[in-house]
Amino acid sequence: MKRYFVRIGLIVMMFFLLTPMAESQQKGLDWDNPIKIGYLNPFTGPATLTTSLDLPGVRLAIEEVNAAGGVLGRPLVVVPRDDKLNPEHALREAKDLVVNEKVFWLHGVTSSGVARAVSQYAKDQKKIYAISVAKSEKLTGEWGHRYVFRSTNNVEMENVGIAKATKEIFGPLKKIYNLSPDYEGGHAGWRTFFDSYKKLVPDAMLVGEAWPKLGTQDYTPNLTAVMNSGAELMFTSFYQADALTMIKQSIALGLDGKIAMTGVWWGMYAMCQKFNKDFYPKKTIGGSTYAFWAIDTAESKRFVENIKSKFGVYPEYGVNSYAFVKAMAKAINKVGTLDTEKVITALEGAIMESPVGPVEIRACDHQAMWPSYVGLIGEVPGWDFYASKKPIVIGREAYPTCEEIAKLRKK
Amino acid sequence: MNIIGREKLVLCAIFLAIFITLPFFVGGGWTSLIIEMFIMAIAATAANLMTGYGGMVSFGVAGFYGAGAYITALLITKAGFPFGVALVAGPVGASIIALPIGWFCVRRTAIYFSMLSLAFAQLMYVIVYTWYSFAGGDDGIVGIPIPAFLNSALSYYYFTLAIMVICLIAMWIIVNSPFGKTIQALRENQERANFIGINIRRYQHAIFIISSFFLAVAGSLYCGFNQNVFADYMFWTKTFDIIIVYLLGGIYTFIGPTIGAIIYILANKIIIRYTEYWPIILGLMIVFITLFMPNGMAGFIWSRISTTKKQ
Amino acid sequence: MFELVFGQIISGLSVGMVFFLIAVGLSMVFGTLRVLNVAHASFYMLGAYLCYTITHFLGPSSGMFWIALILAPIGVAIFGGILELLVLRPIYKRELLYQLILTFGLILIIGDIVKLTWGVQFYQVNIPWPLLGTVSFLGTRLSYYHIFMIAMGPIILILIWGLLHKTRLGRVIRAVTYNRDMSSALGVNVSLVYTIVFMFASWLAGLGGTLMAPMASVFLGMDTTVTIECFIIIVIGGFGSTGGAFLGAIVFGLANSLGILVLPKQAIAFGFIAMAAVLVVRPWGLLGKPE
Repeated sequence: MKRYFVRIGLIVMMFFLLTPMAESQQKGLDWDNPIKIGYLNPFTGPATLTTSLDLPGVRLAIEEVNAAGGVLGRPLVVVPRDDKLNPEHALREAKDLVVNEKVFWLHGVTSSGVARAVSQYAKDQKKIYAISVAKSEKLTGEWGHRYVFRSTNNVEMENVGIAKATKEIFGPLKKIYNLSPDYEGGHAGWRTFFDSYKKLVPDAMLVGEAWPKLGTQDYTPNLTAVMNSGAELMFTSFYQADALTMIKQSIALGLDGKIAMTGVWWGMYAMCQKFNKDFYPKKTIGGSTYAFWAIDTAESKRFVENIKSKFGVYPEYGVNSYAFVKAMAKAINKVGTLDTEKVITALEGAIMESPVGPVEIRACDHQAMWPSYVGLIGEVPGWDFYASKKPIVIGREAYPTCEEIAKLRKK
Repeated sequence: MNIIGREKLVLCAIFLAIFITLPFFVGGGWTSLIIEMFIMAIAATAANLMTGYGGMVSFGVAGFYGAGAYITALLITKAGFPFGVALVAGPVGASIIALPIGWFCVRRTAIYFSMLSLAFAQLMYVIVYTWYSFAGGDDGIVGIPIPAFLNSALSYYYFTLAIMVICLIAMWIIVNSPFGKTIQALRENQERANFIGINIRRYQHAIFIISSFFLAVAGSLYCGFNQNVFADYMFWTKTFDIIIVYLLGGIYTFIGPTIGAIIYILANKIIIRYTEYWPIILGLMIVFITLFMPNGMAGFIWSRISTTKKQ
Repeated sequence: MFELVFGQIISGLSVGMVFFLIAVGLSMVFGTLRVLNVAHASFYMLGAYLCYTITHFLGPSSGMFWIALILAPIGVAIFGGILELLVLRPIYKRELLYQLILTFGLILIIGDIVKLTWGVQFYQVNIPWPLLGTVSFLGTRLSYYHIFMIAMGPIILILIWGLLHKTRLGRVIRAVTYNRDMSSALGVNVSLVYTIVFMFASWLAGLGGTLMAPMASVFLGMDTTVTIECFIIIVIGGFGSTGGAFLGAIVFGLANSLGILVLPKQAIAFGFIAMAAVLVVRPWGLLGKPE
């Protein structure tokens, strides 16, 4: 008898969970024939905040595009998939998106390691792939190619600003300890920081380093090693849940505030929303891709308002995807057909209208010339969170030149 | 032919005909999917040689699967070997690794065997994962080139089908040979086997190595299919994938793991289109099948067929 | 140099104690019920999430943590009890392989239940008052919360030992562990004992999660960060041995944290090397009994 009920219960549960989710539809567009965006980002694991802040940007852009007549009379639709912060899963999903869902372009990915794998796949399949969060400079540098675009900035240019801010705010500190995650994003973060920093402080030296895995729960062995290494500055490119854990443990150990810290992506709202007056890293510099609290333009304020009212979150990661999706829609409409090669040509050199102003998609490397914002983490007056206050803005001059990119790719 | 019954031979021929003609009826997406099924079928059947036939549950099967993939990948990208050579070197290399590992593992029984095989597999994983400069670490190796004639889904499909058929025939011959019968006897009663003078350890060691060889074939094929390799191919979650597959299909029949592979991959792809909550559905399926179909799907179907036949 | 090593020892011990709490439950379930529950770490994750919910129930306040410390493990224990009744009972007589796969299915199910209930966000729990702050000791700084975590280990160990050796229930549990059929023949309600042991083990894992929450982050997938480590610990310590789990956890925690000083990247290998070594040389573990 019990077996019978269990069996029925299981079957009922299975059917219930198979119900597909519906989407609201705009009138006047060919809804049987949408143009699909294959969106890949982590929905599980320690970096899910990028997804929850980036996807709204995509969705808002889609809404606006569809309200303005869609793309070639067809609506844009996003097909989101979990890449689990893992290249194997990402590729499996990418393959399904391209071959079965027939998406027009792939979009997303937080981990640079995953992005590299997806970029390779896009190149093989001759499909456009727009990187929306991953930061390694190599993705549009030596690993770049015709089909990959990046709709956000990269860590190399961020670190130009971060190195500069570190020296300006903390003085020319020499002894550095590097605590970064062991994958491409982590390696990219460290090498680009150290390169830029050494140009400003030539006798800077590494007194120790450790490379724990992403998702590590316990940094205390590493943090105690930092404390006892004599370092004046700790550099890290860990982010989100891992970074919050690290900060917690550093506060618990009394390390926080004692030595200066530079967290490449610690200025990002995604993390900063978790800070409050009892819990934030002191004497720490962080970078952000969209310090909306410090940007005064009407366009930016309106964008922030839109995202907040529709999705209940502040934008940050979303701003890059928002601008890019709109730029894509414009390019496809201009070209008149879904021809990948023609759309790529239309995108090269295109100027995206964005909440931070016009941003060019540079033709030589398909890197969007997004700015970056760096500052000391602290209370932001007028807003209910802590973040990089009074950030300095770094612009397109921080990106490597086209000649440098060409040289890297030739190798 | 005394090695396979007439009925089974006819069934095999029918399925073979179906698989050969299938790509012409279904789209490119399905072709890719079925290739994955073929590869998983090889891996699960290989793993089942130890479990269903040998009575030894290994938790380290992903280690050899991944070893095959990595050896193939590294030989192609670092040493410039041609694909064909690398594909053969993968299983051969994995078998060599299986020699010492298997020797240690078979000296333990039951859960200790399982744990030891897990420990070795995880060690292999850690070696690959931490050797960032050489093996790519967490980022893996991507963009591995394969020969032009294999570069389409269709041609890789027939390539994999051919290899799968060869592997399955080979494994069938092995389990039905005197050696194979001895292995099954060992599973049933080790004491008696000992009395007859059989060197248990030697036989178990042999099946361990054979199983690892074919696991690595699957791994190498997968490497060629995706043209990449990641440390995750060796991680314990991959072992569980393979174990779920052969359990789903049934460990007491030869064809069970293959059926399990078809069901598992099919369910995976179909369900994920409707919901992002695939894990809970897979979990419920596993619980359901473990509780109500202990002989797996193949066993379940077989017993249903047998009861109707008896009537 | 000394401060460095000492600091590593302290952090290794504190994390080791959390691992002990999870591993000992797993070990007890294996020793008594003869089931290897690979989903045990999911209870750890559940405990952490419940801790978050309870501490934020009336608004973020660090005083609520102490209530969570009491309630969250109980919640996990109840959940574990229901699971045991519904799903585990039928498979006690089955082979190891089926138990493994079924409990692996549970990892997936519990994982998605957590995702459905709490979403994909990750959460923070603050270190509770009065454990904020650090103290200076032997040249290095120790956080009060770390000391608390380290203290919990022996406290729970004594609790378990007391339960097993000084109470009637404990005697019954030990009898069932030693010989199931004999105990049943003597009139012991073995099924009830199984349920109690399983609930206790879930309680322990939930406690581990609750204790870890203020130190780390609460996110989906945190169960897989401890699963394999627990296997390593109970293999080293010995299946079914409580003292073994304690010893194994200490060995593991220290091997990890000291290993970082010696070979930072390869530190994760030490656990598996120790596991393989124990299995080859002395498979029943340091404090286990040969079967």
